[in-house]
Amino acid sequence: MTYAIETHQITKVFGDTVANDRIDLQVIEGHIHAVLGENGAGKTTLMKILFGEEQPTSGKIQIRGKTVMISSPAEALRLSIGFIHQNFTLVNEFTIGQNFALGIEPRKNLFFADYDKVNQKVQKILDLLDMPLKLDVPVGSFSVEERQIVEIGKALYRGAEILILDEPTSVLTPQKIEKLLDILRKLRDEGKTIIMITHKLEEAFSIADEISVLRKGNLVATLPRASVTKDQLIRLMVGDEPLSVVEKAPHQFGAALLEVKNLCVRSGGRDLVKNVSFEVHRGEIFGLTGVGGNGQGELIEALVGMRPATEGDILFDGTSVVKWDIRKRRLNGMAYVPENRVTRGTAVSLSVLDNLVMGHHYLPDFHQGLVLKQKKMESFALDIIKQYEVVASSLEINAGSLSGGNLQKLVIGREFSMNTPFLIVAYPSQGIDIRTTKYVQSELIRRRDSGCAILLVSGDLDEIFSLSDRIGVMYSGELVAITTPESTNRFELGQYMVGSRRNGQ
Amino acid sequence: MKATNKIRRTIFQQGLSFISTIALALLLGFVMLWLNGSAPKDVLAAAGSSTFASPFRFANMISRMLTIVLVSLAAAIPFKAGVWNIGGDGQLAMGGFFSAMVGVYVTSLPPVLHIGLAVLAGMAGGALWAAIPAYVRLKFKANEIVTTIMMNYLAALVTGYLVNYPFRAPGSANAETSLVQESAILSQMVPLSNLSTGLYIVIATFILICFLDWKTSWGYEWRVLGSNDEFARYGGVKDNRMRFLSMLIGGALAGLAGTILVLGSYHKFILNLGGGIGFTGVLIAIIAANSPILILIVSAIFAILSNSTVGLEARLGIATEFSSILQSVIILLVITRSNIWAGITKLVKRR
Repeated sequence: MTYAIETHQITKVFGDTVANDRIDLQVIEGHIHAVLGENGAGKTTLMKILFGEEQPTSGKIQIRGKTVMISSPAEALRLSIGFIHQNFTLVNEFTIGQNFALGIEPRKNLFFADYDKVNQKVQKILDLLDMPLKLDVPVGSFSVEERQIVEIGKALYRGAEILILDEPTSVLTPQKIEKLLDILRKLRDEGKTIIMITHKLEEAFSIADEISVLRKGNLVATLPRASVTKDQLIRLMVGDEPLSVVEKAPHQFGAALLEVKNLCVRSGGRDLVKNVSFEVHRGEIFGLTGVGGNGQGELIEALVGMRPATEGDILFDGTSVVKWDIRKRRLNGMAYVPENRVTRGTAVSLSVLDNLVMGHHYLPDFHQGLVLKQKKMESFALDIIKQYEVVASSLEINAGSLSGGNLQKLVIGREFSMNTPFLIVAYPSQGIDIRTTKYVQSELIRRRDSGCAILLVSGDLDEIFSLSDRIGVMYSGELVAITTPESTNRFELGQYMVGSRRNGQ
Repeated sequence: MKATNKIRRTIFQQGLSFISTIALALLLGFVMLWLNGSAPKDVLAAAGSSTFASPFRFANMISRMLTIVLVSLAAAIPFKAGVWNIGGDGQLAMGGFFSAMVGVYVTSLPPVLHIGLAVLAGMAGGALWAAIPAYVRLKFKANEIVTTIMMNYLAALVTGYLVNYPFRAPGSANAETSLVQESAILSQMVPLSNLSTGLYIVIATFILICFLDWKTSWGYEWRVLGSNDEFARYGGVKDNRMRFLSMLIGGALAGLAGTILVLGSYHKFILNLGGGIGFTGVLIAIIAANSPILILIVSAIFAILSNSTVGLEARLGIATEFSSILQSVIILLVITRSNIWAGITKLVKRR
């Protein structure tokens, strides 16, 4: 058995944090190797080291038995390691061929890039991937899953034999995930070695030949899939501390805090939200679901004031808020955990402190006239970090250096600690680990029980089912159903979501 | 405590790499001149003497530096908030003109009041000139890079007309206003030099700007707006208002630069008052990454450089354009400094 990659005692220290602690990873050539772990377990750091984006503090790396120095991504590619990032690295305006050959274009007539030659090779790769994509359109016109596969194709074009994929399924719908996993299996059968970083147990279980589990920077085990159970893996991932189970007290409606009446949002000639009406009561979690892009995002934006409502009314505690700006709505008790924590929920180039005080900084506690109360803000920020277990070495580091899960905890901590009577929480468990998810869910329940009105937006039906008191489904801008977890089932919700059924039909 | 130590360390490291980069650029300048046949010793002597040989030369350098600091801040504050203010020249001219109007035509005020009024008028003039493109940007989404540059030409033409015709000093051969009243003059601090008591106004303004930047919600909201405006909006920052405000302050700072030139150096408004210094301000704001402290350092270097050109030309026959070349070298090196230092560290490690 040859190892495509072996690491020996790889250690990586960032400041005071040990991201990787003496890791010995062995990846068998021609296998699919899943690297499982919670957020902040050190998965991404380890992979960045393998791809030359980070240098290990100590330890050595062997590729097929030869000790190597992976000083840069270019060097990694020379060693036939390809990395497929969580965020796409394609130029949207370029075609597939232009993307693949970017910087390494073959020449004809001394000067001109020979895209015919490129496209022949591209076609072969697309055939291998079983993806019939057009070669003459910009990649920006492809769907997310198509672009994901184009990313893999790019690595192959550049000669990758070892593919590292960072959370490749996080942006995909369930059917598309299956398709991606099929492609990965096919590539394995072609002899490629695949390392997949994930925190989704199911995926690791369904595809991997070996599974490595990282916890708090340590490699706790590498096990063949055939001889391991899911329960075992969960225990390895989260450690031995008992997990809290989400338990709910019976539903007790208070008065309606948020009343949405015939709300319409129109933009660019399109009706994004059509005539939507519903209420969220105190002490209630209203779960809003639907396939992504059916108006949920625009509805939330109208509620918080980021987008004007074209028609209809929004009553908050009996008062119409449609004319209020975002700050006024926040000051009067709306907090909002947004769907996209990097583009909306944080400013990644600013410090953790700057990110934590946003929205709090104009509350009376934190300023005296124009002057901000620095000390108060710092102690407040430290409290959030502690309470929400944000792993950050100091308040001054860039938020962008936190792992995805920690960034999400930062956002959740900031919004929850507003202590508002109303919370909008969009896709809270997207990209975060089991333990954090459990924590967030129990926190939501606790808030509900203390009388908070919560609008939970999620595409994860299990989450919607286990948390919601009532469930609304959006399809094509309309709220097509309002139901309860007790009176519906997965199949029925699915029908609402794809538009083949509406309430009362 | 730990956090503040860390900030101190990063500021120190940044400052160190910054200063050593500028030192590297100056060294390159010496090499260039040396290849051109001038002995480094002579260059140093000639350049140094134009700034340091006598108190009045040094004072002139400081006076120059005051203008540069103000126009740099005028660019940096809007930059922080994600707004491009390239209109420092126009704002400086309008500010200068406004203050000259108050200085010339308002009479029989005690000096403190008269100067105060003229300074306020100058800042208002600059702010007004910045408010126009800011408003057009917010209302009609007109690109402020284009409009602020346009406003520079407009300011030159408008003030050109005003000092050529309605407000031209009676009997003067030049396009300029009459001298301001005695009570509006910022008095000379060093004999023969341009340096006036405007120095104190600039110091106070600089401290105020640092305070705004570091300690207030304005500074915080600008910082957030400049780094992710969607996040700022989401968090309840009144984005348009803060952008507008940043431009007003930027304009007022440029206007103050013009005011101090008028009240402290020329004692009248002259055509082409700033001589294109606004663009230098934009460059310095970029080099200094909008940090007031770094702006102070770079402004000093640029002021010394532009001062030394005179000495270099007079003594060694080196063309004044050399200073522009050297400024360009500094800009290029500073902007690419993180790459340069990474490269150097790598080389050192390899050996």
